[in-house]
Amino acid sequence: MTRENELSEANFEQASRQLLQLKSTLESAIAGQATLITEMIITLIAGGHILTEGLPGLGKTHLAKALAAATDLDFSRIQCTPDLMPADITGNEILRRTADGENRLEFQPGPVFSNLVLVDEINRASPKTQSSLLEAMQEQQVTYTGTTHPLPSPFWVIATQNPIEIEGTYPLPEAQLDRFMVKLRVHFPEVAALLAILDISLDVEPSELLEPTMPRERLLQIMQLSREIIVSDRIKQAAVQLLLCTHPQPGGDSRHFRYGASPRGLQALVRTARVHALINGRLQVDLDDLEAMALPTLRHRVILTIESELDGVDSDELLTQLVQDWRERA
Amino acid sequence: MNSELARKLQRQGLRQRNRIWLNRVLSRAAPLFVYSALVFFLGGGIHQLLLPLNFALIAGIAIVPSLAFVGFLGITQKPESREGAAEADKLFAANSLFVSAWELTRLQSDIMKSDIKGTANLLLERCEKALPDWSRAVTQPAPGKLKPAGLVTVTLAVLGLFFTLQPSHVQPRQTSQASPNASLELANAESAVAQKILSELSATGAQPTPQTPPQPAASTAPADPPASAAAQGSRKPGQPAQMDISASTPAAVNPLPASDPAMTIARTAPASNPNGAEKTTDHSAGNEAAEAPDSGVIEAREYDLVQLVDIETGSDQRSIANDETSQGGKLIEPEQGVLRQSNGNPWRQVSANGFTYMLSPQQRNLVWRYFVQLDKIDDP
Repeated sequence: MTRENELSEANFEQASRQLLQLKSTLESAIAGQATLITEMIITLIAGGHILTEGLPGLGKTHLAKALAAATDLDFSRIQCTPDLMPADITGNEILRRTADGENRLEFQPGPVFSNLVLVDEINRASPKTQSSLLEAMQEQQVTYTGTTHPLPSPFWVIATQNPIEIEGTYPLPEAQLDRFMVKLRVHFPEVAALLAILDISLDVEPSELLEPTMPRERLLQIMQLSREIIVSDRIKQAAVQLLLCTHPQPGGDSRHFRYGASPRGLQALVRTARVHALINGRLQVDLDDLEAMALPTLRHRVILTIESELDGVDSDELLTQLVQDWRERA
Repeated sequence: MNSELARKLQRQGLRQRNRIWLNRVLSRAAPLFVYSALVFFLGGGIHQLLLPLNFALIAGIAIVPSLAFVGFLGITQKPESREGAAEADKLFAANSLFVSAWELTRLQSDIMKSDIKGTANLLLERCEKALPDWSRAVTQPAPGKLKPAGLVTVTLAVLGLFFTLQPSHVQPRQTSQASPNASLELANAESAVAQKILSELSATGAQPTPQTPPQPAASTAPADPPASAAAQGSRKPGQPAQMDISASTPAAVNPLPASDPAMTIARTAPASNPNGAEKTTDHSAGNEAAEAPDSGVIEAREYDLVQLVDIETGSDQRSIANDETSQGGKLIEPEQGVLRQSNGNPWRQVSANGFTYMLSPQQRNLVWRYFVQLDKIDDP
């Protein structure tokens, strides 16, 4: 897309309208999770990976499948277990006999070679298997026996984990958590949403019935368009200030933090804020966009002190308070 | 890019920057405004109730520190232009559209401005469309309300200013301790001065209606006031005569022994040095009496001029009395006729209320001072 010739108000309006249409499509399949759906679409357009956390049965896997169906993307699913091996994810070399009778080792791509990969219950996989996702998520490539295999583009990983199960799980290390652009919490739906769930998904899986509303090519165009959103210096400074708020300082709420968010978190914050502005029909990022995306992009990048964890301090509440204070100052 | 739009954006940003600047300075200088109001109020109260004060003094104490601090704040608290743009964006509820456009038009160089395309151009177009609404928002600011503290401060300042500018009703301390009846005070003061003068007159030996006024010899005449003043050399020009000076004043007697060379100098100086005598003549008691508007004035002037002529005759030709260019010579010339009538007697005859007195120069001086005191009482 040549920017000079094709960018117009209509482009942005159409992109915003299509994103809202995608959102409404997903809401028709997943009831009571409007915020989660919006944040997931934003992260998708921003080109980041998603970690969802919630109790079983809230529709995490269902949402990922619905997203793949609505966007007409190649979809694969990895159900993590403690005995899952890295090769089960990345792929393996197998011996094949050619037509002329010659035996040859060929790379058989694993489930990670897909546009949208659902890694279900990622915290059940062993650390070795979890780390095999590192290169794929960050470099969008897989190296096997010295040969590098690029992953298809676009490439997204949507991982889920259950926060209440401790036994037989391997919590994700901080380095791998940082690879996820956002960490989304799946909240329990309200009464009206529960009734809607009964209406739409009692006997069928709505995600299997969804028609693609946004072609893959259009998705890539919107991803490109979102990078044209203007981020002013004032917004950049405000984002930096917000990031620094998460770093431990004597006094205030940040004293509960052992480590603050990383610069990668700052990038994630601004990139998702750009898409948030696009969905809301703006050509420029605003403080509202930063505020809206602060919690999803920063909550898994701060580490509480041992004392605060033992005291049961909730990092989400601390971050919410920090963001409010930051917004008053900005 | 539209340059007119850039100018408008910059103007709005500067306007808001100045507004922030003013608010910042005023908010931080508020305690000093309270101080100024209190000083005005207290100064006005003191001025009206206790002690008359100079307005410039009160105003200086009240205003100068505040002005100095405001000037200091104005220099140190000047906000940056981008703060003004951010404030304008907040005021317009523009969701960062204003500040983004402002940065595009300000931070980019001219070459880059001409190259603004794509989203930036669209953003500027949006900004241009929204600018009229923003301008209306600025031209119709919400009416500000004066807080109670500010109201009290302004009231105190206005009252203090009013009291300070009003003339004080407080009399000077010495008169405020006397009788409240002003006319009675005046009469008492006049009678006191009269009693004093009369007592001094009787002490100096004034005699009513002498048939043959005494003709003291030149050698036995009372000490000539100009000569004695010149000999003493203690009074400065413009200094009034002291009330307790009398003929028996010890200063008239030279305490030095006759054989002392200094005594000879003191006695011979008035006669041999005409300059010294002429200078002391202007400030002597006889000269002061000459300015008084009574009959003794003319006669006293004759007396002074006689002394000048006497000096002139015994002096060299370079005396100031003969100097045509000096004031002394000019004074002498028109009085030649009077000088010839003078007999050199310092005693003068004064008639009042059917009585005739012979007054010496010192007595005439006392009478003149009496009238001067009366004038001061009448017109303080």
